[in-house]
Amino acid sequence: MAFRSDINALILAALQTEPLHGYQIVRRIRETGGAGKLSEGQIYPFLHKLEAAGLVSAEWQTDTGGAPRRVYQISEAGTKELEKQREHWRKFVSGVGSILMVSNSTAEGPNV
Amino acid sequence: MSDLIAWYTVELRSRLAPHLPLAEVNTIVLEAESHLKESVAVLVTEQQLTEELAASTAINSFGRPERVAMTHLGQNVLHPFGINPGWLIYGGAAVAILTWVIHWEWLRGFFDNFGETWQNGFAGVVGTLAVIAFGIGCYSDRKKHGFRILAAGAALSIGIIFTFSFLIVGANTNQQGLSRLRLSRDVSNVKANVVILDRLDAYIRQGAVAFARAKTTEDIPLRFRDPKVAQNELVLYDLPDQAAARHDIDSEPGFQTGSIRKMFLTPSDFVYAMVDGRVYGLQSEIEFSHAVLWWRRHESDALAAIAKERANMTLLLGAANQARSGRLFFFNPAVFGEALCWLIVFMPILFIIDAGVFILIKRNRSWPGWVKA
Repeated sequence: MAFRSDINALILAALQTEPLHGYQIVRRIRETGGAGKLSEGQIYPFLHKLEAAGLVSAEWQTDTGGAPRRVYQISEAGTKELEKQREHWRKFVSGVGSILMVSNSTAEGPNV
Repeated sequence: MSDLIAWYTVELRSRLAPHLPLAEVNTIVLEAESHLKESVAVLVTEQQLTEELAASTAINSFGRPERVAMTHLGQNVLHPFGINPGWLIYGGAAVAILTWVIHWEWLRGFFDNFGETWQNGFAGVVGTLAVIAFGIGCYSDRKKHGFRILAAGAALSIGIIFTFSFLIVGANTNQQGLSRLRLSRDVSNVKANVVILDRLDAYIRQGAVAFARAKTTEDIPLRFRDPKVAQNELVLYDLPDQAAARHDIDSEPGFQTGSIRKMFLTPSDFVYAMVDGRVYGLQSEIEFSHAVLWWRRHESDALAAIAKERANMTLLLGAANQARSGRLFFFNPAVFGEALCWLIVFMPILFIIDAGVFILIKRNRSWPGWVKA
């Protein structure tokens, strides 16, 4: 399960290594299970939002031999945003983890 | 292209086209088509599905067209200055309509007297800002808002009935009412009106006798010939401020300039006593014979009109007592009906603005400086 706001980070992460077209991005996110209950088609609006915010750029690729594809590429601002999201995620995991671990040790009680 | 994919793109387009610019709709639909074709190719190759079954599976994974369209539309909402456009639409419509209604009901009209008084100017500025906020809200929400405008109108209609019935204390038989916020002031005005109406009643009765007996102009007492004397007697309006006269006996231009020396005050069939203190009840004739005839024919009508207006004043005083005793609402269609009519008149303006803004959206993708939600 994922929060919808995490989808943006997942998209940016998918694009970090190489430019991808929409189908590839969606498949990668679906494979990680990060899309939650969102269908494949519902991930595209998040891509467009990132594009409008200047975090990714997109252009049509017509020499595919098949249907034209829209290829997305992460921008410099997108890379910075991804780093920010990663830092938030680390803090979140660390904070939640510390609470969960404390709860776990309290439940077990002291070893005598 | 598979029939299923063709159907899907048509469905998706039909749901997006009324709300988004054409270029954006084209991008979304082409991208969806590209995704579905890619998906079908992979399913056919990797899972050996038939093309028809692969198309069906791909569409299932992609999501129902209405759901995908809704997600796209949801992402297209702009938040100007961080405000949800819904607030701007509802708030702008409500404030604009209320300002217009108040302008026409209590002030001096919206367009022809803009800025004539500070209240007019203030209400005009507020109304204009509300219209601008409404337009910005429509633009930001990127779709048509007929239902929202109708809903705002319906809510305001009900609100106006209760608001006016609370603020205007009156009786069903009277077209006017007292302001609940200035009840004491209005009550004293109404009481003063009753005194003036009593004086006017006596004045009419005495005038009828005087004109019935008179043979020549000189037989008519000065109080029926000189408006200033009549005004002083009846306390109808302030002499130094004749332009804002409280009584229509100065309606003859000659009364103010002094050029008409020979004139006669006559009774009027229509007597109006206003809660702000104005009383209308006399008119004038220049010819002596006309004045005599008028007094003879209209004395009883004038007395009946005075009695009716006195009864109205009594009802208003009774309503004031009820308001002071705790009665909250005085439902009077004659009072809130006009406001409702104005509301209905002004609603189409919002529809026109909404339609105009939507045409602008179709032409212009977005304005700079606005952040997508």
